[in-house]
Amino acid sequence: MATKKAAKKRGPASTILRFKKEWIFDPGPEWLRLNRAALTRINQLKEDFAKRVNEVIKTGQQ
Amino acid sequence: MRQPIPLRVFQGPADVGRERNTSRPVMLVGFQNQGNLGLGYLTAVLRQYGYTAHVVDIEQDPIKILEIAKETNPILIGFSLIFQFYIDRYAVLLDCLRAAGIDCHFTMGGHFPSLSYEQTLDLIPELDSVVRFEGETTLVELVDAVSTGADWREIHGIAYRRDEKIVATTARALLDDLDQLPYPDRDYEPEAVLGRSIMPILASRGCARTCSFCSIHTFYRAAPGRIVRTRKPAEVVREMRMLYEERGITIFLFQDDDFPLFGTVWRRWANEFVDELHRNELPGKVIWKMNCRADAVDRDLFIRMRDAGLYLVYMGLESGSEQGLETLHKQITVEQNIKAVNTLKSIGLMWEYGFMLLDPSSTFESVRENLNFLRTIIGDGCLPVTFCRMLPYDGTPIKDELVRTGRIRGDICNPDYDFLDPRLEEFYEGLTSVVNVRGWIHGLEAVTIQLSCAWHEVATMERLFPELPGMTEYKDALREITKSSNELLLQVVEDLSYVYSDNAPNKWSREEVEAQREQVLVRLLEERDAFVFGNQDVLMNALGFDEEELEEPEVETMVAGV
Repeated sequence: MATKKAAKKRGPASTILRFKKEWIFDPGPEWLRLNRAALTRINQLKEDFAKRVNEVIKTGQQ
Repeated sequence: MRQPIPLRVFQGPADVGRERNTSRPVMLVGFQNQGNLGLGYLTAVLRQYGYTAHVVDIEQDPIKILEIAKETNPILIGFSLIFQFYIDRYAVLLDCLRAAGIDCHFTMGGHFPSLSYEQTLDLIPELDSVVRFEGETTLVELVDAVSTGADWREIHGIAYRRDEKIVATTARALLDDLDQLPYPDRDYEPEAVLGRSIMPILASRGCARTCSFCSIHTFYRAAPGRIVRTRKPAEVVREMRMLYEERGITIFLFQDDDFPLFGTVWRRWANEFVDELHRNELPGKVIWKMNCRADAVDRDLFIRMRDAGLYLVYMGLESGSEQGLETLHKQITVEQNIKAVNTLKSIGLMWEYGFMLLDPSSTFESVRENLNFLRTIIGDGCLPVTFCRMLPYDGTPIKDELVRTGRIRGDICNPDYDFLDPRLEEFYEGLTSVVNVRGWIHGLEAVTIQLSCAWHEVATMERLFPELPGMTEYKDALREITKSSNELLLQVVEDLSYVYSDNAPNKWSREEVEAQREQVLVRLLEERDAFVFGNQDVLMNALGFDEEELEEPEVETMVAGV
């Protein structure tokens, strides 16, 4: 595979000419947060967890 | 050497002989990435009235924000909510601050709190008030009242709880003359591209259009006063010149909702702005970016603006199907969108775009129309693919319609809706499972972000640096990388659409798509670093570094290919 020749970064150039993509990044809502299947799974896990906690409390009270 | 440009003094209605106690500061908390002009204007106005204002980034650890609040003991904390989906983060923060004993007045502003103040106060019980719409005058009046123990509940432009009910006072009119405002506070180190400093700036406020997915026009229409206000061109250029001369800013990002271009009046404004830039001898020294609609792209005007430093045009194209544009109430045609793109390409202007692959009217046919549209505009590799799914934000007509038809789903932080064709939901989930969307489009390390960044650098090098040897070859290489990654991503999306519409076999695995994505990024960084660091002497000399400074110890060696 043809690739590029090496170029040495010298002194302050290594910082100033660094590839900075941070400034262009705009934090939008994440796609995955909107994945309904994932949200349904999480909600189910939360319900299951609450049920288990309640069962533990109930057992303890008996 | 020019004399420093004096700052102007805000002469708002808040000036009329009211008492204030400026002994305690005001703290403002908000999103700070790329500079926050909204907070900048509020801070500048507060400081003019004698208040000390501390601006704190919401992205910081809540414990750090608490420490600052304890240390500074503010009279009021104002929270700026730009993104609706951040509201849960603010709710946690306010709860944490109150629980730790911060008992000052808490208020909040922004599009969502202004339009949905009842929900905001319900969701965040620690809030004392909401400042609605443009906040400069209202916030000063609120701080004056709170600082002197006066009754703040009759101040115009706020909402608060009274006897278990939520009440809103008379809405305050939008500022009529934006040039009354001081220049926004910019007390932070600017970002830079290749050593050239960047600053956000504003020429106008408001948007005259009525896109159904956008809350900007409802925000401005819900308050009394003129919807769109422009600053005087001379004032905008005066601010740019000051930032150039005093802080060395050479890249200006106009954050206007819709840069004043369209129609006779605003076209005259744009021409005056260009004249003013020339009068101040800024073209050649500074470059600027702006946001506009595709139907505002006019060849002659854009050539004039290009020659006065315009280097990047962002357009909300949003859809490549007539049905999609109709649903989004863009009041524009696919043909107009394509014409604008072709005009910008023909005059050598870099451009970017917003695009919604999926919206509530989507069908598999419209998805494929959108993909074909994207191939038409960026198939040549001039820009990377970007797209999203339209989200039904509060205050938008499209959300109201989805509520009316029973299709709204999710919650404030995860607004969602049912598609008309349920198979599209499966397609959407299939797409997110095969394509790492954060890795391709939306994350910090995404292909789209990195390719866009590389193209920005090209535009910056071409406009703010001497001619660089090998630039044509570098642009060809960058175009080839962009083109091949666009082709791949669009093909994957199209193939998946047939999997869910026609039960076609799935040819793609996540592993395979990920492997190709990683190859794109490796090639990109290799080409980019070889070109930039191959020209580092020219670039650094243009930035004012001399040979001696450049001979400081080497830091690392570039990756060499075989």
